[in-house]
Amino acid sequence: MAKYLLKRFSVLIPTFVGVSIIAFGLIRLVPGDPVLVLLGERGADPVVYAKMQKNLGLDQPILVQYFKFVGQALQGDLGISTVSKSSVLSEFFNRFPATLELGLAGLLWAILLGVPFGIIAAVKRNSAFDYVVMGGALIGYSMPIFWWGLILIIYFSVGLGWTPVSGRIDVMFDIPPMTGFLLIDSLFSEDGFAAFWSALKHLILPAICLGTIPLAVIARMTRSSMLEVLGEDYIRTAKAKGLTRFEVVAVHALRNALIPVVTVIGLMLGTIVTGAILTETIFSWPGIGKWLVNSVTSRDYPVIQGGIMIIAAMIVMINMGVDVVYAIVDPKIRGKS
Amino acid sequence: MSLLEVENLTIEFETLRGLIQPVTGITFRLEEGETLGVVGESGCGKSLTSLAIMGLLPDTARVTADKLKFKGIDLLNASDGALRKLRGGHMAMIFQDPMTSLNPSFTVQFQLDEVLRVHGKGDKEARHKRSLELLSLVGIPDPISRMNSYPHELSGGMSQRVMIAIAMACDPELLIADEPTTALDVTIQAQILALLQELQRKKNMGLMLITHDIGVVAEMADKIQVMYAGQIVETGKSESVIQDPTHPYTLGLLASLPGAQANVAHRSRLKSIPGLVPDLTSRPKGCQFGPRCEKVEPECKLKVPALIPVRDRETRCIRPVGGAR
Repeated sequence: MAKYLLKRFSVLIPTFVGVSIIAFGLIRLVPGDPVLVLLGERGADPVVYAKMQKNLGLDQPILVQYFKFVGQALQGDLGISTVSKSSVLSEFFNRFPATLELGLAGLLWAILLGVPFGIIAAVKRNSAFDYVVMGGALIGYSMPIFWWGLILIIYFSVGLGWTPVSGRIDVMFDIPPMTGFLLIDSLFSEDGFAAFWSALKHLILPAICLGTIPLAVIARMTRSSMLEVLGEDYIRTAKAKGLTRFEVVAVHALRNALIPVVTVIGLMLGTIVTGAILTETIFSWPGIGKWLVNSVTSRDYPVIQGGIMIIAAMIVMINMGVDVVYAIVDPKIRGKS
Repeated sequence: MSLLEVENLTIEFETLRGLIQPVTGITFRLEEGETLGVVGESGCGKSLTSLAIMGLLPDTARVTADKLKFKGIDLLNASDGALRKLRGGHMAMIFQDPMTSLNPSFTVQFQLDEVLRVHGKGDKEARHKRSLELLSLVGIPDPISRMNSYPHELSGGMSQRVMIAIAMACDPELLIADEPTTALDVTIQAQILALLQELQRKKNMGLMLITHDIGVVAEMADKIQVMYAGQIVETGKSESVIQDPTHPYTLGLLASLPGAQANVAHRSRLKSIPGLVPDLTSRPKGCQFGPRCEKVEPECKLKVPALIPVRDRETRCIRPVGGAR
């Protein structure tokens, strides 16, 4: 097991080197000058410009800038946002709970709907339900998120007026941050349930939008895994014991069918952060995604670099966590290491 | 009233290449305490017959019969609830591959306890005691520690013993063993068969032993039923069928057995039956075994021969063989 972990960890080093080069290099390939953005469109006095460039460290050769960035990052310092002048790390953690809340809500509805849909589709294979769910999953998977988000807003927010168009909570509520999750914090605020209700209403559409692709993937995965398991000999044994159809499916089949589904859900935690970039932009959700998009517009190099590094680190860690959990669960994998 | 009465059982499947009938017009009876050996090649319909009795065929199968009765209960028209009570409670089944027939995610204890729980055999403590008893009954050493084992921690022979324990849990009147030893080592095979025979005698169960190995049934069965292409081709008392077969197919099966001493001494080649079992979508005309039969005559191809009484049994051949001995 220790050897297995060591092997997995050693792969991380080249991964992070690659990510840092991409995070650092990509934004510098994009036209636009952070100094000019800061000084305003009318251009600036060359003296002021040079001073600002020096302040930001952008006057140095690009390699020096890169190694400075990496060196500081290794010490846990991702720099200071050129726009807000506060540290990238603290800005990230201020916004992260919003993204996490949205992501978990999206994943939750994807699991709550996707797993049962997949099971029923498998048990009632080739039925109308199966065709509708699998057709819907295919559409859900292929739909562009930004378009789907806009359709949701047009229909439910603008047309029916059921939910707010954007934001996390009505402006009338002022929630002191505790956990960072508005659904929790609002319940402890002065406004209590009214604030909670407002936060929930704001959360629903973005969560549906973000959870659509995971929902499609989970439903399809559950169905195919379930179908495979339902053909196993031990399912026949379970039937031969005199169990009801429900017991056979819910106890004997589900337990085995869910193993690959749980893996997929784990890996999906990573994609949900990336999916959040589009969803947050559409719904003006004040999370990591929107923060990154804004920082690209304002050419805020430290935020872009730092943000990408943190997200990459999280995705890599989640994937590794899934691998490690798998190694613990499955003795065959453990044996091979 | 017989324990099991099957009359004119036919199983059909709708396939892309048309309707197929892997089992046609099977008729037999099984009494309490009796062992019936069902013999035939792969695909002759012996497993399907047993699954039809247990009601375990997939929904796509169409099962028809003039009579399919277990202890007088009509299995074709019984309610789902009544059938569930019978399955595992009064009729039990063990399968070919014990390694895949146990659920890999649950312990032996869970899988054994479950069948007792479903059929309402006592409270948790009583069931635990009974589970231990069953594991000892099927000859599993150290049952207490085995209770917490997962199937992947058991050998094939042990797994099959657990399967037998599960099947025996509720003292069924009928046990169907579908090739119970095919996936096991030869030495383990003998042990498992001996165990089945011992349990059958102890509990006076009806045992339906399905196998492709006619040597196995020769030792254990009271009656033998030889199947070919979904039909019974010969059926009768075990000794008479083995010692004096009337159907050319039975003769062929017996001839293909490696007689241990004879072959070592003479180094003779094993005999085999030439050809293959017929394709179910295009069955041959007349006798199904005709295309592979050494003694085939033009008359054999006219129509499917009926099962006719010959000597002390029934055979599906217009020119029964043997009889001199």
